[in-house]
Amino acid sequence: MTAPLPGGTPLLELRGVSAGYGPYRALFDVSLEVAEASTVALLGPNGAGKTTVARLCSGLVRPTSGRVVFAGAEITGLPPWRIARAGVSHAPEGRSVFASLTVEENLALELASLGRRGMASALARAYDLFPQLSGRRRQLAGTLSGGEQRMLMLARVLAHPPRLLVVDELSLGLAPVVLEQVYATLHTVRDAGTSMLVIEQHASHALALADRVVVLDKGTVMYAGPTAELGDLRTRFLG
Amino acid sequence: MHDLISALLRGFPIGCVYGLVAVGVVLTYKTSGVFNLAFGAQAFVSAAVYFVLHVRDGWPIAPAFAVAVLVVAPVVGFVLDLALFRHLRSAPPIARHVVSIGLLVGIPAIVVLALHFGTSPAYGPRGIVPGGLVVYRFGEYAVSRDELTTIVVTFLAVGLLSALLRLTAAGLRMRAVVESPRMTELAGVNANRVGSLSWMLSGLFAGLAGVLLAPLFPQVSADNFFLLIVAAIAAAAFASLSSLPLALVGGLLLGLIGQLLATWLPTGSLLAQGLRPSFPFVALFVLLVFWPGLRRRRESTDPLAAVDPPPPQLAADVRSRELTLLTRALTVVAAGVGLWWVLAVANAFWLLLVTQAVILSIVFLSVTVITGMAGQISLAQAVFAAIGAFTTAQLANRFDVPLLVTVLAGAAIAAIVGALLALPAVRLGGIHLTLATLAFALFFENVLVKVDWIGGSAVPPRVARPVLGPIDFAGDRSFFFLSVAVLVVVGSLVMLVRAGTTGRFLRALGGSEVAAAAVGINPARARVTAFALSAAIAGLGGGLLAMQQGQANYQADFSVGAGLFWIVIVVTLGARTVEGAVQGGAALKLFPQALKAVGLSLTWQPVLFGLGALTFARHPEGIVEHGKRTSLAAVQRLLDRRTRT
Repeated sequence: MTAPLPGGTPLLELRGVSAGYGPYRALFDVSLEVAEASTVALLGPNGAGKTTVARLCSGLVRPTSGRVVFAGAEITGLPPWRIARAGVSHAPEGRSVFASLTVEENLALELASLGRRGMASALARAYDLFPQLSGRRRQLAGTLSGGEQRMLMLARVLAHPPRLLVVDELSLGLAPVVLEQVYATLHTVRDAGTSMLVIEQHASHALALADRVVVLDKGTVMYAGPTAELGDLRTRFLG
Repeated sequence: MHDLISALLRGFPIGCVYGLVAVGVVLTYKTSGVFNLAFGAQAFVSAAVYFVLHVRDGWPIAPAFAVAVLVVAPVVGFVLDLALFRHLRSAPPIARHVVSIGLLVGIPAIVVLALHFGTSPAYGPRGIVPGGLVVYRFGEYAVSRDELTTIVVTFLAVGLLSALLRLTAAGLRMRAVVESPRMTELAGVNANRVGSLSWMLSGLFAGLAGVLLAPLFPQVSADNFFLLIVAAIAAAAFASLSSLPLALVGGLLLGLIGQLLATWLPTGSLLAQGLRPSFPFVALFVLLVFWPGLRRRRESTDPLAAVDPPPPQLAADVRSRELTLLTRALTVVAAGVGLWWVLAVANAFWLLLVTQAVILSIVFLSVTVITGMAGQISLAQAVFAAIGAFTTAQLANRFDVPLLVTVLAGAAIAAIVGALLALPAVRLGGIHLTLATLAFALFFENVLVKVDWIGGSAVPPRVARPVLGPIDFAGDRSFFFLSVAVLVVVGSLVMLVRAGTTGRFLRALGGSEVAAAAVGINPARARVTAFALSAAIAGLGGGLLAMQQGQANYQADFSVGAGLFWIVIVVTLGARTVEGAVQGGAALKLFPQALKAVGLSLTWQPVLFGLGALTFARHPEGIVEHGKRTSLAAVQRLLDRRTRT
């Protein structure tokens, strides 16, 4: 689909990024990378700045300083739709669905670029993934239950896996059974070559999926390295 | 039977016109999230351009239509999006509504200036088909060619639009952008381009409506288009702001019922005089309050709204102690210099102007309460002021009540009316409340003002100046002092309320209605209180204004148009602070003098205030508040530097 990057170039790179909301600062000089075909778990306590990192990756928040590089090209300050077309898919936390559109319209919006045939197969994949949704194609997304809305949001990004998938607080509001199923899907998607940045409170699931882990606290990077060497940080922050 | 059918035949084209505009309003709401009160003004632009090209300059129909509808109308929509609404896509709905009210005031004034329409409306608009007045007869019944065109174009346009929105990818994107521009962008869609398209489409529709409507009226004037949109809004409410075909049905029903009322109600009866002209307003109010489709409707919110920084605190709340002292000292000095100037230097003319500015500041404090504190836009503030003025006049003239008592009675009656109006309407909140107040204001203007014991006869009732014990306020100077004293009292009251329980409740409601209710705040009660207080302040100001003018003159001082103007001024300058209201009063009265000094026509005033909405789009806190924040920050930096060295 896309040309492989020259050896050693990470797929996504944050270089010394600071960011915030109005007068409130959330991140201070954060650097992290996601190598191609790898998965990074981003962990940390509440208020550490994890969600802000996710928003930086997709362009929802612009850095006040520092650079964001994706696939060797600078994407700092680009509008979210350009970054999305470049191959970054961001599944925001919470019930991020279009409440006034139907289930199928929610999916179609994301998959419009695939053409009619591509869309049909992607839709089939989405309903395969979450059979519960297939009976509700014409229902308004706002009338789904909380868990179903999360499913719909994940179906949107998983039906057509991008180059880089950024998932924020995946486990929030999902029943344990569904969560197992979603993580099984993520494993398949990862094995098919999609890179991932997974933000989680449930550290164990994310760590099982990831090669590397980054721990954030109070807007700075506390630890970055292989999952295996996390050591006592794990107990300190992640229970 | 014959009467019934001919009434239906007459009502049908009118209903189509209502429906056309209603469809346009719903279309704009669905594709851009703005309840576009300026839709009528946009329609007026195309109608005026078409009139100028076709009737005045003698262009043939086709090129005139192409320029007015296919070029000018979408360009207007595009410019509105580019300059204003694009920046407000993630802003709270109240900001968008204020901007659309600003445009409602500003656009017609711009048209009048740009097309050299003069101050009087242009007569003799023509339709978009040759020989529009040719009448086809079916037995005893007759339909003109213009009417037939309207009917055909309306149904075609509604069908095409519905299909576009429901069936195409572009329609899907437009609906998605309204709900959350950010999530749409995450799906790889350029929300700005979609937004521009939406506005061009609804602009095109407004233009089409404009040229179709124009021949219904004897002249092309913005007022007609404004009144038309009220009926159209009622039809849009009937469609629960979501269904295009239902909006058309609503429009048709309104047109037909209006004609049936005209046929059946005995002419000359009080009911006919009262009910017929007010029917659209009454229908709008009743629909807003009772229509179940609207009651169920919750404005869907952007799930990614948290990406925006929280609204800034008031500059006065965060500044340092030294700076507070400095600001207060400066305020006292400025007030002192102002008083000295008024008393020692100003002549009678300026004294009059400044007194009016002071009284208007009092009226504008009512906007501070309802918009700045409760976060609701009321378009009935001028009516509350009028109620205060009329109460003052009627009680004093009929029952010889002392004037200072009548003013307070006026405030009390305004408060009661405000609370009664708010009771059914507060539940609605947001744009629905705004529309309910607009319906009430227009009802008041078209029906109640003409009632003998309210607005008096054709001549505005006279009002004298009050006497308090030994002090006679008949002199302009003493009356000026009275006004200033009332302003100080009301201003302090507003600040106390803002800092007190009611203010805190209202701020909590603004943050999250659900969370506020969960800690035991009764939203309806807090809002009704705010409404009543706001109406009382407006009534008090209205009574004072009547005394100052010597008469309660509805047309000159309290019309619905004036009320729209007031809201725009106060909100653009700063609705959250007392200073904002005072500066609004000053701006309204002194700005025309500044224009006169520069030699510009007074038509520029609404233009400039309408354009003030432009700055508002960037600083929804208000221009004054924004300026205060930046200047305070600069002074604070200076102070910090001095203490450090």
